[in-house]
Amino acid sequence: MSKQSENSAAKASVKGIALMLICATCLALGQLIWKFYDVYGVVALLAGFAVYGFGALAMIFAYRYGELSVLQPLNSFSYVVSLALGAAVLHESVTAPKYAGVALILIGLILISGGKRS
Amino acid sequence: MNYILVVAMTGIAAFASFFLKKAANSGSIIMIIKNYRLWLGGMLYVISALINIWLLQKMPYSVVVPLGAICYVWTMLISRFLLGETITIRKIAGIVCILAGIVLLAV
Repeated sequence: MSKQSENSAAKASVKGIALMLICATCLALGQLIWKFYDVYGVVALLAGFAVYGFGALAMIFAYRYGELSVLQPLNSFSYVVSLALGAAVLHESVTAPKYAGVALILIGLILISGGKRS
Repeated sequence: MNYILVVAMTGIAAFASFFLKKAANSGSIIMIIKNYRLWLGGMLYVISALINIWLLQKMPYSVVVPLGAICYVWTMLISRFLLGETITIRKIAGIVCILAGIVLLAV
């Protein structure tokens, strides 16, 4: 029984992973908002910081629910989000290498987070 | 010199998340706020971001961003040797995929 409770301190829980994905989204969103500094000025700076701060809170709470080596790399989901936001909002072009890059990152994220659950 | 700064930037960021992880596990929200590691981790993140901003003035964006991903390697080493976490083949494969993906994004 005690061996089982040792094993249940497993890699990461769904809660931790979800919180990290939220954090990564906030990273990308915050930077997108900062991009609009030339249009909205200080308001954009503050809004970006607020989003960043929310993401930081999500990350700190996420760290309660899993291993650092599983949760921290999930920050790279921000690259995926920033590509999508860049294409949708800023009309940045998505070239073939970028599609391949995003696919690789997603595969990597699935590999890392796909271990044992708690 | 710039590459020393890259190592510093990524290493400091990795240690920042190490301290945040330690703080996060220290108990209730009040205990987290009272834990010096929370504030140390936050400060280290800010320092890493400042180095990041400085490097972006000196080197191309398409170089700085992929190099920043080295932070994931440091974090894995820190989690193994300072937190006792197991490094599986799966995790290594995942990091390799992520690094390769980030390089492709910057191309």
